[in-house]
Amino acid sequence: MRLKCLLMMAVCSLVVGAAMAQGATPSPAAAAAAGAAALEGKTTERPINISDWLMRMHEASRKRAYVGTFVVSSANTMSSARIWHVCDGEQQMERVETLTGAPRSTFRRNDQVITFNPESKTALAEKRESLGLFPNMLLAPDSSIAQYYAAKHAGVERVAGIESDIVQLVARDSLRFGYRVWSERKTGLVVKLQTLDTDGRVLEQAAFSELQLDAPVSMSKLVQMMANVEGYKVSRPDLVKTTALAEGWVLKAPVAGFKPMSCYKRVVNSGEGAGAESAMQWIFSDGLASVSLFVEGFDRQRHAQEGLMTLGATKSLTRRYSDKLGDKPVDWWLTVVGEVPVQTLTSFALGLERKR
Amino acid sequence: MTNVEDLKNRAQVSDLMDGRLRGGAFAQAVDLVNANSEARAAWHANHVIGDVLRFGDAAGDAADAQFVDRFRTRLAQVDAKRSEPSGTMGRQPRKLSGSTATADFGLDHHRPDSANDSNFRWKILAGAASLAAVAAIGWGVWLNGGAPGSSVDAGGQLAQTGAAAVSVAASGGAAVSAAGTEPQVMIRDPHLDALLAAHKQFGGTSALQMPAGFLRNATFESSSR
Repeated sequence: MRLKCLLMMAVCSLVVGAAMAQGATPSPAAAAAAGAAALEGKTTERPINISDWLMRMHEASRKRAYVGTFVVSSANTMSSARIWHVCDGEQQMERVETLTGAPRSTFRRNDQVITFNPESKTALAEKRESLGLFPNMLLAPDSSIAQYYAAKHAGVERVAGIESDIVQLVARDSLRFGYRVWSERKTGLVVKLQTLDTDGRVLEQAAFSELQLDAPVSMSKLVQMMANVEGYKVSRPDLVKTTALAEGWVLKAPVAGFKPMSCYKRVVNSGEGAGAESAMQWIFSDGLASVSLFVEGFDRQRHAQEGLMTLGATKSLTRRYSDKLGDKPVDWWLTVVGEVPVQTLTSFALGLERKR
Repeated sequence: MTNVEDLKNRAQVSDLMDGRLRGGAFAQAVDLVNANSEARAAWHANHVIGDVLRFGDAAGDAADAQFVDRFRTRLAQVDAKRSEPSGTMGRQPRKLSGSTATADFGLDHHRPDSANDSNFRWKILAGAASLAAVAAIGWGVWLNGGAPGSSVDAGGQLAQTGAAAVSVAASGGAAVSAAGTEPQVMIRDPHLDALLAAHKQFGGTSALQMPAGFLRNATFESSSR
């Protein structure tokens, strides 16, 4: 059996290796198979190929239907939701019904997301482009995830009754958090995810507390529910694609591992009576963690407090940025948000500069 | 809380941890942990016990340390019994053959099977009870730790103060190491919440986004809007 596994690993490595040697991008299936072999081989003294393993994880979500209860816990809050997930190889659909806090239903069909708020009878329809970026990001020849994270097999444990492999993603520097991921042994489906700080302490956990795999979830029924917006006022985010340079901003010192992904000019609505302000959102990612830089005009009323804030694994830093337009002083308000250590937010905040 | 209620609540928390609850019972238990400081303390204690069993240590405050010491002593007594020649009680630690890969990270792989969590060190403090009860988003802010070159004016937007210190582990960096030891307070900031929502919408550029990241955001947002 062990020999079989080793042979399988060798064959998969050859397939992936040959494809890469030819300068071709390995197919998702080949990468996923390699990821499975890395874990199923059991004698994983060598580190796991992180891209292969992540690809396997991604493939699993495209193949399995399930119903479960998902719990997210951070320092002082616990949120939970009921999840329905179904896929047909090409399309993925998800329904998320919150069990805590305000009632809310989120439906996702690939990168299309709509969130219903029954209390206010409003719905927000969004296209989450970041969902579409994956898995291309992993398969890109310049994917640098392995340069900044090491993946190690850390044992086997049961989560929600499911036998799972534990994979530890360890950050190679202090600019990013680590992760501990529990994935179902058979297919690689993620059943639990912990975000760890630079000392290895758990900042946040997201996990299934109960999970029924291969549940009979009807895609047509979910499609029907997602499309039924009767009685709801549907809004869409007001945003325009742009570039930081076009908006007059540069990052004078890049933050190691973080690449610019996209940039938008958007209207930020802070709620009733607060009005809406235009802000630039510049998004960076190292493949696993992401950071958003928001720049907006300084408003003495709204922007009174500079500082560091934290919400589970999400940190934010706010800072006033002063410059001159000719002889006239101009102030901006910078907010950096991300699931990264504060040191990383600080590097972004100090690196941003107004282009002259 | 009466003794009967206390026992009932503890049983409910225990069932929650073990993943035995479904539907309404599950929602009720989550509400209980969010609203009841004793239930939350029981939840926390269970996790501290889990930490000690799995990793031999637990991150926590002074009260935790005393609790851990007592628990370790008790555990040592049980271990001593287990190691007696005739003692076959207890499960043997289980690990993959040859799985020594993570030794360099100081992890203990001698962990028993468990359907519930392993390294879950949430530092739930009694002072945060009122915050959790309102089930609204609360950003922990370091009062004296500001952005580089800035001073923090903690007035104005502060909604809660005092003992509501939220122990989120401080990360590296000069600004944080200075700030990490300072008391924190919780604030509600709708503007920051709006930016957070925008970050989740477009900033979730992560290989971990599918599916766990999306589910995490969709679930977590429940308390943020």
